[in-house]
Amino acid sequence: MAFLSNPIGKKMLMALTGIVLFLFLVAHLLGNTTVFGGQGWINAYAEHIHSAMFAPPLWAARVVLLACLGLHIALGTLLFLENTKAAPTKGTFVTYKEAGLSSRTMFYTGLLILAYLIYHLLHFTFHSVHASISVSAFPPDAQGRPDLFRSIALSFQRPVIAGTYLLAMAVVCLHTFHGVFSSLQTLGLPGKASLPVLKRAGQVLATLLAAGFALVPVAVLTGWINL
Amino acid sequence: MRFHLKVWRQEGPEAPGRFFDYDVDDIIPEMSLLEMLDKLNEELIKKGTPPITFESDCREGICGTCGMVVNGSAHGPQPKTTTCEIRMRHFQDGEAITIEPFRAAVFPVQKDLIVERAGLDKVIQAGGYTSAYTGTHADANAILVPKDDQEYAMDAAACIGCGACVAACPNSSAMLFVAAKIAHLGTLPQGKPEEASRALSMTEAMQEEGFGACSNHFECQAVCPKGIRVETIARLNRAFLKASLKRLA
Amino acid sequence: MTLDGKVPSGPIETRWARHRDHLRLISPANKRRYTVIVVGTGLGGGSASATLAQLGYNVLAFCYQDSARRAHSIAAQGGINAAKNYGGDGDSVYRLFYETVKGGDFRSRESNVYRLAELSGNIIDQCVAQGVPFQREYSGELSTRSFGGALVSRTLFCRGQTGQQLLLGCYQAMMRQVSEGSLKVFPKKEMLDLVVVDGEAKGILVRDLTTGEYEAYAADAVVIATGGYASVFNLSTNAVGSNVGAIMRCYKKGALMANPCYTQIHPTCIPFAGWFQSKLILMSESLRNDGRVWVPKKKGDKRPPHEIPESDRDYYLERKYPSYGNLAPRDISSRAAKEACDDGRGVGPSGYAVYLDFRDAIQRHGRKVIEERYGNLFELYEHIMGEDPYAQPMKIYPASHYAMGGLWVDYNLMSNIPGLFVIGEANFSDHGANRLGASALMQGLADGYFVLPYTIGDYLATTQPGKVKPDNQEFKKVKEDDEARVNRLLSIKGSRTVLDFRIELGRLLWENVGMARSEETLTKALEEIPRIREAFWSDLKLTGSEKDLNQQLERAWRLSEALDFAEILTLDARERRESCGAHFRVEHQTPDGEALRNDAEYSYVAAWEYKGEGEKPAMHKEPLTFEVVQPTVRSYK
Repeated sequence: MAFLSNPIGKKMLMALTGIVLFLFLVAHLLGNTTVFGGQGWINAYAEHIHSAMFAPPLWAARVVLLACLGLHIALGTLLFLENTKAAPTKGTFVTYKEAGLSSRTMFYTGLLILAYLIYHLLHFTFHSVHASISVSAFPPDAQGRPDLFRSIALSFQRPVIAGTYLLAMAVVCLHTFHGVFSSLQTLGLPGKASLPVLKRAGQVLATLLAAGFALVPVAVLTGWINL
Repeated sequence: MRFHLKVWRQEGPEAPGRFFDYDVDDIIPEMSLLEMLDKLNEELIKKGTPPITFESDCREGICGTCGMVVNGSAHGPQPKTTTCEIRMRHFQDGEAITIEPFRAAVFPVQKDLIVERAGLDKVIQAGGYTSAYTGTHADANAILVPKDDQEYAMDAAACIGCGACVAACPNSSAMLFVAAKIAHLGTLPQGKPEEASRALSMTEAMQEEGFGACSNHFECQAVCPKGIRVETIARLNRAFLKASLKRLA
Repeated sequence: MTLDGKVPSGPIETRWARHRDHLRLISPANKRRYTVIVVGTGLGGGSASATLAQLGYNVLAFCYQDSARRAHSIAAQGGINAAKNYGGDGDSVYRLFYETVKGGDFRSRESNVYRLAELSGNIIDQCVAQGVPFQREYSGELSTRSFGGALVSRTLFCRGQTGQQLLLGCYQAMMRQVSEGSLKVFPKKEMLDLVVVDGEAKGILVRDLTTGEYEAYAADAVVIATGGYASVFNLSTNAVGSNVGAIMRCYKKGALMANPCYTQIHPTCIPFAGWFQSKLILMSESLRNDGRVWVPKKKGDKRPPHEIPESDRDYYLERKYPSYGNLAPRDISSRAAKEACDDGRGVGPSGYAVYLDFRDAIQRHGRKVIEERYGNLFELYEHIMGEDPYAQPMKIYPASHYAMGGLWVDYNLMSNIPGLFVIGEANFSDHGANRLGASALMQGLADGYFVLPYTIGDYLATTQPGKVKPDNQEFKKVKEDDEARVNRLLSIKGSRTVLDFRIELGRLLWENVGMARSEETLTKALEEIPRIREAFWSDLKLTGSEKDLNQQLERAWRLSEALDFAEILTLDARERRESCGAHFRVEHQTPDGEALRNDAEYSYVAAWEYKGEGEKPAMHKEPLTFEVVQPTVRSYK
């Protein structure tokens, strides 16, 4: 408890949960790449991770992930409130030198990501939004698997869905652009020489991740991926 | 040189403050910003107006007394400079210059540009020292200190406790201030034994006093007049982690 | 009045140890019943507060700054001397003692200086234990460097921030005692007065600088550690807040002021930019190793330096002192620069600067070597002046720097008022007529860590703890007097500002009581000072009120004391009709311009006693006897 009441302790838990969430995104992105293999690949992948064999570990992972997400949000909000209390105003006219848009908007980009996450789950996981183009609206593919490929392709053919997705990825990029390196710094990783390198690496990683995600709707819109 | 100044004036901690406009003339480029304010104050007094209240002491960048936000930056736009070291030749003739106090909840404005910074003393009281009593100690050369460690400690020990890091931090965190002390003492064999408890108690005191937490914005590093690096914060984080694990074990 | 320095006798090597062994002690359990007030939190006050609190006394520390970490000790650059013989060049306690006595031009107490030299080593051990990051060699051992006036390398340093690091050591030790509850620090409270009850110092009156309220604090002893008075010259290397107020108030309460005429002028400072400048910044004296000092031969030659041909340059130090040249001692080079500028040949916008030129050194050694030697100083200079010293000569000028004189104290550092102790630069004790470089830090810490904590017990053991309370009549009286004085300042409602008067006084002293003094200039100053004082008390303009944060009022109070002090300084300088150390009387010099001491008549400490407002103070003499070192002529040949 003493750990959590300490400002660094709170930040460390933020960093750890953030890293878990980021790693999840990386795994998610790797899964997404199967879409470029065509209908067969991604539908096989989707069925595979839903198969009974993987159910218990997957549920465990989901619980951990959900816990991390909850902690990340709760601590983030707490820190945001505490920090706002400590710095009610920074004067009428402030010029920032090192703090970028990314670091200064972490709380807000976090909220946006949360909002998008809910929408994203309602769409692709719970099929309650855009039900007409969700997986459950389509007949299984030739192998009898849920036709995720068709759902993705039809969804991103709609500019509004693709556009929202791209915007969300921009926000994810903004959040992780600072978040990845910030986590490492909070965990005490950087040394004198490695600090600037790690900072740059974190920014590159964040950009690559968001770009990777963005590739799917772009591919659909440009016709690279089609039915 | 002539300048148009917008200076924050506030009669007391509870009074509302606002910017006042002043025009100053006959400023020579060698003058420091504070000397320009001295000159303005002389003119104000002669007119019977209360002069602008601001703090300074050594006027050579080492005592840490002066501290204002000049054109949106703590200690002004120049890197590695205290307010008293700012020279007027760094400004354009005729430029408008905005001067306001350091802003943080823990630094309440006392009057005009003066803020109360006792919180920093409280943080040091929580463990920013070695518990060496005055008395007889081993010869200074009895414990060797690697030169690199001594240089690193000296880099961190250069902190003048001005509070610019707090003023610049969007969270008003004192992490760089704490980290500098932890790095200074923790790198030397004389300060090492107490490093774990020091890291815990100083960061706890920091929070108790009402400083925010670190979000790694690194604004502190950008304004630090003594060039203290945020890498010391990573070092503090490591020390904290080690101390927490030790406490757990 | 006979001045008893209480100097122990016997072999000088064991005087302090024997003296210490016979000091009265207070039992550990009883110490907390005694309250000690320490005024000032520099090296002296900081080290004393921390140590007294650690011993168990109930300590109250006061400073005008907003934190105990800011006193002007922090600005000391060069280093701290210690007779450790780390340099392996034959240093010893005796040698440090000898060089300090000689450096002070045989106007200090031998016993005090020996004790200082003896304690110098302990100080370093103490500071290292506190985590002061002294410069180290690759072996991990401490580095030393040589300094002016010494033949051995005995100066330890933390880059160019030695004072800062030592002060942070004190400050951190203080903060530890604060957290343990034995020390209370009162920042932003300025001592207005000493409270003397039945002839003994029993408390102080302070003004809270934030609220303007007067507060009385009673104690069993009062320690004054408020530094020196170089700021009476207006432009000095001191902090803008440094002032003579506290020691003057003690003087007016009966403490003797000793050798006020001993003021050190440092030759290599960044020159002033105009009369609005509040202070002068010091540049290390080491620059004169490679820089050549010159001014144009013609008066008012306004050409840029590189356009002035060799034939039109006057390398006056090399001309006047061919053997020492640019490395002439501090006082000589300072005076020579003043003469050149008074002659109208000074350079820079104000005409009060001389060139320190590295052109020849850069040609001879190459830029790289000069960069290695002085890189950080050149950077500092460029930062302030906006001129590149590699491309054009530096401009420098002497500035008032340090006060060797101060309140008179005995060997126990107690003034002639029982219970009033004075340490560091505020006392007169160890430096004689001139202080050697890197000795100020040593003295402040020796007094605070290792002398006062022992000797104060000897006095306290004779007193009843808590005898005087703040409701004592004397506190009330002092408060009424000081309040009346503050209100008098506020009620003048004249037309001139505090700074106006400060500059006028500073100029007068600088020109007449500065680097070169004569019967004539001193007499002139003695006539002028009362005139300025009268103008001050009749034409001062202040804004704001008493019960508020009122910086003008603070400065007016300090200046009112400086005006009174200036008179004793000048009087002392006039009465000392000899030249010694930093006190240079033009009538008393050798044909080649060296200080001419007069041991037969002036080998004494001049201690001045206050006789009331407008009365001439009385001088008491403490004869100086030299048993170990024989006074000789300081020669720079």
